[in-house]
Parts: sequence; structure tokens; C-alpha cells
Amino acid sequence: MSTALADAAPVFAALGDPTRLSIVLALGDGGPRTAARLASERPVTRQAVEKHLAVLGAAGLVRSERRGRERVWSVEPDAVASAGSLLQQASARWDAALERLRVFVEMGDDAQPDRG
Amino acid sequence: MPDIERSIVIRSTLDRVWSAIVDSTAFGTWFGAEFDGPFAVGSTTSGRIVPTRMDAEVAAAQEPHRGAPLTAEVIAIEPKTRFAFRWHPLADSEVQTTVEFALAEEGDGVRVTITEDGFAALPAEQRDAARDGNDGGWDAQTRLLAAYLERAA
Repeated sequence: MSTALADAAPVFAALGDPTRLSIVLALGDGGPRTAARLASERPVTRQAVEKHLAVLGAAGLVRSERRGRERVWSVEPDAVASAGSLLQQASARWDAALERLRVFVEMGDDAQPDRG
Repeated sequence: MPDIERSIVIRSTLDRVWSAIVDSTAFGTWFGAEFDGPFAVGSTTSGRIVPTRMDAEVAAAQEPHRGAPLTAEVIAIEPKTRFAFRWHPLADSEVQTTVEFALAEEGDGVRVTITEDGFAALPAEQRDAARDGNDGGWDAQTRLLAAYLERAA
């Protein structure tokens, strides 16, 4: 397992929750907004949204900044992109594993006596 | 579409390819793991990462993870056709994926297709609802997430 795969674990854990995923998608689609706004758009409390934002923030998927009296949240595009690249890495890992399976089987065949 | 789908053709017999996959000792040899018992449907076979002897470069990459636990919850063994298990592919994560090997004779060999699915498992309706109205405003990188979620569908 590559380090990159292990590093991406929090990203996938964070995206595995439907509310959190919807928050990431909303921020990516509609742009930065406050926790109160996010809460108004879905059937959860602002406190719940803030907890989800904290998890997403810990995974590096979102960040916040103060604008006047408000804290505005936005998506971290690089972290989102890494979720896609992680799948490419996992694919490459399987390509390599399948190649080892092929060598394992075909070399084993060569080592077998010819039973005609 | 599963998250990941890869395949390879192996010039050997279906019997040999099947046993290299469904026999936990053989599986461990090429994959880079050792298991404490055989694979059996409905049971979880525990094991750990042991650097593969098949490829020095891969072995070097696996070395830091030597001994890391690896458990396969076997969900399907259909002789010479299909082998499927669930595991946790990411260290220190609850994320659970399903890995499936499908075998089919092709020409003078055997095509092995591996799929892995569930990296961000979500009920389809929730995912679709989450994606409603997302036609505008995506930047290039956010589109990658959308594409990823479509693959996961």
C-alpha cells in the first residue's frame, strides 16, 4: 500500500458520509458559503454542519476564512482532485498485482513437468 | 461501473489461474501477504503484508508496511468463475471496498478481471440528490470529483 493511498484515507472517510459529500458538492458547485447557509439548504442543524465541516477540514477538503462577522467555507480543489488521483493509483496498484499474478502462474507452468 | 476495473490475459489454464487466486497461500505469494488460513465464503481470513517475492521494486514499496494487518472477508467463491472479498484498502480507515476477481477463458489463456468498488460508498439516490443541479459552476478539479462519483455509481 503506497503512502499516498494511506494519506488519502481521511479524504475517503470524510467523503463516505452523505451529508459531508453533499457539503463538498455544494461548495464546489455554488461557491463559498457559511455554515448557517449550508444548514438552511439541508435537514440538519448548523451545529451538525459545523461538525461535518470540522471533519472535512481535518481531511483537507475544505477551508474557512473570516469575512467581516462571518466565517465562510470553501472547497480545497487540490484535495478533491487527489480523491480522483487516488483511484488512479489504486488502479495502477492492481495493474502491478495482476502482472505479478501472471508471472506467478506462467512461471509455475514452466516449472511443471510436461505431462503431455 | 465499479471504482476500478482492470484486467489481464494469462497464458495458462483456468485451473491454474483459479488456484493462484483462491488459494490463500498462492494469493499471498504474488500479492505480497501471508494469511492465517484458507479463504472460505462467509468467513474472514486474517493476514498481514509481507513484501512480495515476485517484484523487487514492489517489495521495496511494501517493506515499510511489513506486518500491517490485512483481512479478507470472503463473500463469494464460484469455482473457476468468481472470487470476491471485502477489505479495508486504506490504512487507518473504516473505508471498506469489495474486490472481485472474474475469470473467463479467452483464446489460449484466461482473462482475469479485477474490480474494486466502494471507496466512497453511498446509496445512489443520496448521491444523485447531492449532485442535482451541479451542471454549472464546477471548476476543473471539482469535475474530477463528479467524474469519480459517476465511476462509483
